[in-house]
Amino acid sequence: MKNVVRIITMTLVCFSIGIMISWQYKSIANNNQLLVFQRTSIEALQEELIEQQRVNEELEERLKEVNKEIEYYSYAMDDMGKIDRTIKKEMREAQILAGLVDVKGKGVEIVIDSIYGKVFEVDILNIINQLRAWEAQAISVNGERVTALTEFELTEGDRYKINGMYYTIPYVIKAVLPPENIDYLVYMIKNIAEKEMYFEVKIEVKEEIIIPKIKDEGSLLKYVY
Amino acid sequence: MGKSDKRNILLFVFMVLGFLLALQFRSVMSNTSKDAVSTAQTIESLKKELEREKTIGEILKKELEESIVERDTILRNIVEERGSEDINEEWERARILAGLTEVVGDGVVITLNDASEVVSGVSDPLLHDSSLYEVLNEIKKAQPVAISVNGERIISTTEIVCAGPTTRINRNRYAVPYEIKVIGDSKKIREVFLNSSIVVFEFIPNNIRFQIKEEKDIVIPKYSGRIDVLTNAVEVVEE
Repeated sequence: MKNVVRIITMTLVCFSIGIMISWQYKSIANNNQLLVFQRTSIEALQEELIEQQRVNEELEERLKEVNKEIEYYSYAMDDMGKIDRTIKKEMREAQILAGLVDVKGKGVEIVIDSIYGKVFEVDILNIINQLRAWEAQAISVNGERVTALTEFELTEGDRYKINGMYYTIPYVIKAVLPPENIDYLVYMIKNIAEKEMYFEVKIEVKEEIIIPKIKDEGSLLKYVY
Repeated sequence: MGKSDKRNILLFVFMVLGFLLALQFRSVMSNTSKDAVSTAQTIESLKKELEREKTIGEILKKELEESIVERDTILRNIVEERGSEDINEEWERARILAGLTEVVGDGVVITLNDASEVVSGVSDPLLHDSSLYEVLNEIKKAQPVAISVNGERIISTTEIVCAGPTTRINRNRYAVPYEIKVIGDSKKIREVFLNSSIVVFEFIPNNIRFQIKEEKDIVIPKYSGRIDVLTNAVEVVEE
């Protein structure tokens, strides 16, 4: 009888130790996880803070520049030469951004082809977005200037509607971007080319790429006014 | 069971208990130690500092916008005084098309957010950068007038790049939720958006939260970053 009681007691003791060990294990794992989480959150916060400080510095610098210009224009109305140059420069910049003028510069030519006759929207969008991520300043696809509102719509017959016009494969994407970013972009595009099985991507760096202006600015202005 | 057996068992049991106690003690101590307290304090102070920098950024942005408007007005007045109306018109048209002016009009506001909770069977509860540019492409199919995401005007150079938990848009970072404002034909935009493959095959099955509502007099801000750095690698081909 005594033995039975002892065995039961021992079983209970061992049982509770087992539970404690598992509990302990979970608690320590949790603590470690919390610690890792806190460390990552500190790093993320620091990174975000540095980024925000950089943005603020840039803003402050620009504010100073613009205020200096205001002062200059207000007191030096007689220096028409400089004012004319400023106006011309700003107008040119707006025209480049809007795609209203032909532009040229060092850049890349990407050719996308597929034996299946079709490339999905998301893949075209990915390449265009890569170009923008590497700060492409002007892009065209099969001669259509890519503007802020250019759509890529895969329609019937596997044709793409771009700026309201229809194009079939192959797609020739031209882009001008800052020369220091070209190598990174080529690396990224080659990465995509290696991964994709159903379409082919070729990229070539060119000293001079010409990007045409938008073909039908009437269609653009129609929506603005 | 002999006496020595019992002793051995008890010895073993107490050794394990002692070991556990020490482990627990260390773990608890490391959590409540100065380290942990200072970690929490660091996080708190970093958050506060970030908040402060963000507020400064907002103020600077506003001041800069006001200054740019003032400068543009001065320049335009100078051109007008000299009777060069054509230049003013051409300049204004380029600025509108480039996204350098504020636009007001009717349209839709679309909000996108990660799935509210992870439901079993959901393959991907997060909203990715590719989802965002796919949605923007769908909207562009409906020929909109202007688009902005979290106050960033979409212009010809706008990138949508995943940067950790945030997304970089016009070189600034934003986190979910994303608020996309669109001026244009709301019926058409609604139809294109709700029938798009991204909504039907990704958002709905993955529980990604989205909302689309029609609104009047939506204000879409102008692009507020530097323009010269977006155009300094190209040269205009003179005709």
